[in-house]
Amino acid sequence: MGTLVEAPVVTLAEAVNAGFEKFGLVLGWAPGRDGNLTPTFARSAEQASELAFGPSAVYNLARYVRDHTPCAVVAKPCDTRSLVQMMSENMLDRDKVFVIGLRCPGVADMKKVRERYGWGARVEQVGSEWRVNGEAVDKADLLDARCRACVRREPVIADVIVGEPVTPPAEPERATGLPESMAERGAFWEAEFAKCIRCYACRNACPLCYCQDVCVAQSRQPHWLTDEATPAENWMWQMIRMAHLAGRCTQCGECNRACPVDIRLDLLTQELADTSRELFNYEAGLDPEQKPPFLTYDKERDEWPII
Amino acid sequence: MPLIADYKKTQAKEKPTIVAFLCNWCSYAGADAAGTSRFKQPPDVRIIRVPCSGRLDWLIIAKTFKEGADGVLVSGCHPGDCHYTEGNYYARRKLEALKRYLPLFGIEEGRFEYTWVSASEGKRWADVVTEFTEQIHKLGVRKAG
Amino acid sequence: MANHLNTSAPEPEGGSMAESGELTFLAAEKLVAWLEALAAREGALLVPSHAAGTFVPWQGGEPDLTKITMTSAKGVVLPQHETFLSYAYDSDGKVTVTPRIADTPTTVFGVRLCDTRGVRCIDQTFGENGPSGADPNYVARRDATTFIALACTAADVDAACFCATFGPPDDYGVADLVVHPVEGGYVLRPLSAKGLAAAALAPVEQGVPVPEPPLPAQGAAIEIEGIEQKLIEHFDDMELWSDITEKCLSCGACSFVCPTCYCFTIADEERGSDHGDRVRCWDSCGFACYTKEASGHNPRSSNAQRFRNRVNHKFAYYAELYSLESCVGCGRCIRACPAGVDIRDMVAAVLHRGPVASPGSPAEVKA
Repeated sequence: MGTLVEAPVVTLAEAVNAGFEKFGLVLGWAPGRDGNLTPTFARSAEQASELAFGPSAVYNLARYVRDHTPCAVVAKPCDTRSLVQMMSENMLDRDKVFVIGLRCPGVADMKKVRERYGWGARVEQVGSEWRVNGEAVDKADLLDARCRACVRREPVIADVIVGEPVTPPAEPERATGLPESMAERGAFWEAEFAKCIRCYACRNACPLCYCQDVCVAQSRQPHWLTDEATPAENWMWQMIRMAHLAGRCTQCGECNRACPVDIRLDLLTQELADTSRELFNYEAGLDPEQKPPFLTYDKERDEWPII
Repeated sequence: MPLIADYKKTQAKEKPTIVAFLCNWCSYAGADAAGTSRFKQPPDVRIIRVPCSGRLDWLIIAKTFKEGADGVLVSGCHPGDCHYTEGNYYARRKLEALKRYLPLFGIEEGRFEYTWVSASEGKRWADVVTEFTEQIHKLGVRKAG
Repeated sequence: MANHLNTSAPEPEGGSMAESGELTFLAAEKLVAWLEALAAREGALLVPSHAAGTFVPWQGGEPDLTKITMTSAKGVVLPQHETFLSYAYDSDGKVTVTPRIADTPTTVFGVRLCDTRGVRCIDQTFGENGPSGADPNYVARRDATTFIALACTAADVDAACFCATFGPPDDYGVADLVVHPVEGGYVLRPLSAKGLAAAALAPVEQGVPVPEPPLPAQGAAIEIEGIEQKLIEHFDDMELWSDITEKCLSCGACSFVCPTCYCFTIADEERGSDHGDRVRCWDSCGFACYTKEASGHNPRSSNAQRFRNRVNHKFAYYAELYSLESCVGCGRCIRACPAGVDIRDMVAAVLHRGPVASPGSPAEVKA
């Protein structure tokens, strides 16, 4: 799904220079304190020259674009879907962003890397292999779950493309772990939502949660839920997010990654995408002209059994 | 153990709580017609009137479950007959999607249904209520633990 | 802070009553038996859970004592949400208000020294000597809680820890009892009457020499010399603050996992048409609506202003008020942050910032 976009293929350095020349600001990733990549806002040629890509480039920079246009942004294919979705919702002008689209072999699950090798473990790509603290590791084992589920390795929108063509996996691996039986599911989510501390990292990391400081979850009028982090209230909070992302979520995986207590938000976003696909044959973030499914209807085709 | 705000209250229940959201123009009038025609129907369902089925969003139904409802029914005008022309077209998409989403959380299929009942369909309303009430009684009160 | 001797503690089996400060040795295989004895006391026994990311009631078996929890132990004395009082209207419209104070005795086993130092920070504001006097809810929980701290070994410390910045290894904070892992078991070090009562229940070894435990391991210190002054000097340096906070997402993850952050919001919640609760919940200065006023005006409308406040609170304001930084160097904020923000980078950026050229900075105005 999704069309291969036509754009010149260049090196990252050339792409960053082009973006910098056009807008004077490039959103990318550069090495941080522990050597891993971290979001960087390059406003000088020197800063722009430090931008790089690698397995630790887990951050979706589309989240920062809406407050920084006009700008250039380095974007993995999943990040480019966020950009397209923002365009389809009139939250981003195409001519105010210079998209450096990356062909992507996948990024690392940094939580797993740190769990196994300790905080500060540096993961990088050298040639075709991944290394942690200089030692080769099994890439397949450390690959982020969202990359295992990814069906495309090409950007869906780009002004320039960077990287060698990557073969998408034959069989995307879906997120697993949801119990089969209803009773077990109830208990599973009760335990998951008991962990939630209502930090709203999921919301704040999401490129499509525009409301941020006027979010309905923190309002008194209407008052949908309290600030108490009980399982029921926390479930209600995620229902708000899912309700507002239905038909829009591109499964970029940032909410799942952002959660400090590892709640299985990937199961929730996966189900949203499944529902959208099954009911409306719709996938978000592929076409800026697409109308989100819940903002429209099809009189003839929308017919499902009722009681 | 589905997610419920106050387990103590729900555990003390003998009968399931069933809530129905009815659109003012068709279904609410239809339910009223069922009443004036004295059709037999179980009294369990608690009705909340909304201007249109299109007014409902996922959150209203989610919150109803969160507060301890065991079954939620939505009824609106038949597609094509919406008092506001297209409200129920939007509702149909939202509600069908929610119906497929709730089982993810352990809220069993059958606890949430939506249907269309017109103002003249008193008998149909009585039948729908009877069927849905039986369905929810069979599923029972949502349990903790 | 009053320390209550738990007078309902059962007579210890086997082992002898330890004197204040007297070290005893508990064999590793006897740990569960000790936990059983602690659990048998009135109240709750909490242990760390990595699955839950916090401290949970002990369900039996060996607790997972590797590494620190994602969130801190502050939730035991300052919970994420608590009801202060309940109100109810009767049919005549008369309202009854019932204060709610929770003082269930609680033993928390396996906190770290960063947790106990964190509670010490919170004690400054909420304790009996706090600026507004004692917070009754906090003090009730605090008095009813026994902190049994597990000293860190090198295996527990990672590159996000920087606790050596704020005190020596044997600064035990408000721990009632410290448990030092040693070869074959643990050395118990009681530090208070509550700690003595807990240690008394441990089936410690008799007649064996107690090894002197090594000093707890610490995370590498960062430079903070002069940070208080530098922060005040650069208060209006918005170019600096915008630059170093740009990737922050303004969520509350750092505040909520932090052992010293204590900001809260209070709301009245209706629970029915005629009754409700007044509830206190954690709040974060990172949230955009944290300082939003009823008029709609927001003195900290930009993320840069909010983060500036956070760093200033921890390294300048608190230091000035209590001679104590409101940071214990546990590194939880660093691990929890989804955007890769590291408070050590902020501190370094401020320390290395050159003199401010902009007029109107507080330092200039004072002169």
